[in-house]
Amino acid sequence: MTQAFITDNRPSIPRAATAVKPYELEFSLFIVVILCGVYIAYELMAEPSGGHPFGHSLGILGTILMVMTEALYSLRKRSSWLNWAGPVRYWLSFHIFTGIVGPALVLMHTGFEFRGLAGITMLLTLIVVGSGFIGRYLYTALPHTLSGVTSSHQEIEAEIHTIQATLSEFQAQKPEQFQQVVAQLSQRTLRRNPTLTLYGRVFFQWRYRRQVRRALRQLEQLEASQRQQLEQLLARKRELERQTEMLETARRLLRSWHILHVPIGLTLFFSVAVHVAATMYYGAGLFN
Amino acid sequence: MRQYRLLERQHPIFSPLALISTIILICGLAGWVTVAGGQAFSPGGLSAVNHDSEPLGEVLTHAEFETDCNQCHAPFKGIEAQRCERCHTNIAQQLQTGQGIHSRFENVTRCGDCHQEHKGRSFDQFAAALVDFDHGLTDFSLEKHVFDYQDSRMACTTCHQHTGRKFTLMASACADCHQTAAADFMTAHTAAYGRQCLDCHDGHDTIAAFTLAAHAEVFELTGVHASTACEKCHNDGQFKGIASECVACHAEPAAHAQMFGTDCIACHTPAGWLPATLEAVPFDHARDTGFSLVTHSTNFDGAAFTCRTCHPGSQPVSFNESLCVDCHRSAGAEFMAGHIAQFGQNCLDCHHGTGEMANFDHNQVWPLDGQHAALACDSCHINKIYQGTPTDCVGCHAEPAIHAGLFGTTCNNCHTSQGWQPARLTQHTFPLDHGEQGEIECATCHPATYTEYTCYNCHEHGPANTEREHREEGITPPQLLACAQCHPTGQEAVN
Repeated sequence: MTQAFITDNRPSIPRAATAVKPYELEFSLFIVVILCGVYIAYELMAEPSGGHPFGHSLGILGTILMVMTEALYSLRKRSSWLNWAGPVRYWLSFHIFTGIVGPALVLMHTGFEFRGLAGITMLLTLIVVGSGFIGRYLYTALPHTLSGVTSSHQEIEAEIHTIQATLSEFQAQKPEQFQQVVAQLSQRTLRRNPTLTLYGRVFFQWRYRRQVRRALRQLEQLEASQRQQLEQLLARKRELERQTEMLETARRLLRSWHILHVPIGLTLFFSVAVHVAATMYYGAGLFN
Repeated sequence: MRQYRLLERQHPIFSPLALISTIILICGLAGWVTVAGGQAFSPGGLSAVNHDSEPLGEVLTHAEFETDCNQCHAPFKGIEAQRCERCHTNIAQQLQTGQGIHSRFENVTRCGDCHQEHKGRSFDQFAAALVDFDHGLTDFSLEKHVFDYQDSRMACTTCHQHTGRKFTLMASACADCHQTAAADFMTAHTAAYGRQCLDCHDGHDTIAAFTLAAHAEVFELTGVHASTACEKCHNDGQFKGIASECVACHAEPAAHAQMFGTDCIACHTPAGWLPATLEAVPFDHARDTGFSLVTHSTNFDGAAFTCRTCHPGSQPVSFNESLCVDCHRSAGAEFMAGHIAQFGQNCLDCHHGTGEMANFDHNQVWPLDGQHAALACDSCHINKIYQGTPTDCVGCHAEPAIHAGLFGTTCNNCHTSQGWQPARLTQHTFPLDHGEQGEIECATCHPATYTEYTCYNCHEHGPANTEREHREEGITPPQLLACAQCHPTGQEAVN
């Protein structure tokens, strides 16, 4: 899983197959900012309530995106015959994108008036979106391959072993002080509470990387590129170790999270369906 | 961890826990919608503002039937005007009879376009509708009534009294306001036309309701008059008693020199001062009289030329050429004296106004044909002296030496104006073609001068032989030099 760490002039960077850097959050927020600009510009000219064509169009588009959010990703995840449609990882990114932009559009559609069924629908939307963020956090606690499949405990341990071997090979050519620093940094520590590890992993990882950077800065014999690669290796190793600690906990929490997220999501769609049906029945907005 | 283990075995949709949770949530929501009724779908409270004390359809405000959406909303059609009119019977009656402001709206069936709802209890639908109300539908635009004379924004109540929904124009609103800006005008204006301002004014322009057709009953506003500002004729607010004659507004111009009278329409039209017609014919002095006035705009003393300058008589067409002489004599008496002595006083025979001699026909004095036609005038009239120019040929052409003074000065006996040659030899009795060789060169017989000739250049007989043969006839050598005396036709002599 991990390439050998070579100490020549052009060392290659070991890349973990499970390392996936998603940008859907940044992209989604960028789109939301643009939509906010459009909304504010329109607000300066007119009142973009849900009953006006502009406001109603926001609601229709937002609803379509939200339906796509749940339907397409769930279908892809649970249907092996859709393997041709690309890795689940990409569908999750799309799921997150539509799951952020869609509700943002719906929020603008309300004109920030929360009453009746529309208000409940908006509340459910916010709950589902918030729940989605929690789910996403739990999901990213699990190591995934490039195709989005969750890695097993053995696969993670194998990658840790490979990294450790690379580090040992690298240490052997270095002075004793260097070996001591790297050995100290790569020492495996176990926490007693995997749940705490899961929820605090971002903080723990940030704290560990800061510690590594400070320690490596004292090793003058390291080139800048080597220092950076060494830092990445150590950080990756620590992340994998942490994942082994919380693997089972994360899996259990993620499954439990589904039991809460999905029923609320289904209720949301029921609420949206009634809202849309009522809008059509009473001939409001674009249906007038 | 026990609760996790319980949850993690559940399918998120089809497990009993998930199904029950979903059903409870959905049923709870559906139940609330059922109980809430229309409130569940209402995007906002209905208005509780009432401008009239009388109920319409047994309700005073929309808020009283807030949960009954079908009062206004037709299934899958939205707001229907018919549903509104079930309560608002007064509006329905207006629409049926074509009366009232609502009958003037183009999309009168879309009540909600003006009277928005679901904006809350305190929302005043009527006031909100007035914000975008097109006042022009009342036949009076507010285009020029946005700000008053103090630059304050005008409100409905600036001009109207209103009770409930009814707005009534205050009788003196217009006059009172406009009086502050132009008191004298308004006093005269209202005295002349009364205070029913809207009879003539519609807010777009000064008197839009007063049509050109109506004005034509008094005075037709065509041509330049159609775009003339009212105050040009109706100054000081006077509209009555305005004279309709042209001279009331248009003083006769100085150029007329009081020749044409005041029947302007005989020559001019409302389309403009020019083109003018003279006796119903478009008049152009150059075209119609043959004499242009381009060099006669000012007199020698700098005074503007008028018709009267040349046409002093009672009739514009009367003209005496002595006027030309009198005027031009003032600038050059000596010149004119000589000019008249030579050419007479019929000025227009030669002059037509654009140049000095445009009408002059030289043929009347001396024909300019042949080679003379292409000559420059100053070839004969040196220094532009026309008087005394000789008319006989020798005045210009001296007799050539070859003539030897024998041909006289009656040149046209032999020559024409086409050129020096060919000349017609009318006095040459000896046949020019006596040898049947065509006309031969003069120099064949006259090698030195035309007064002498020799026959030896053609005839082969030499002087000695000729002398011997003629001696037999008793002709002596001196006589032999005059061949033509015995051979006048070039043939052998009979005697």
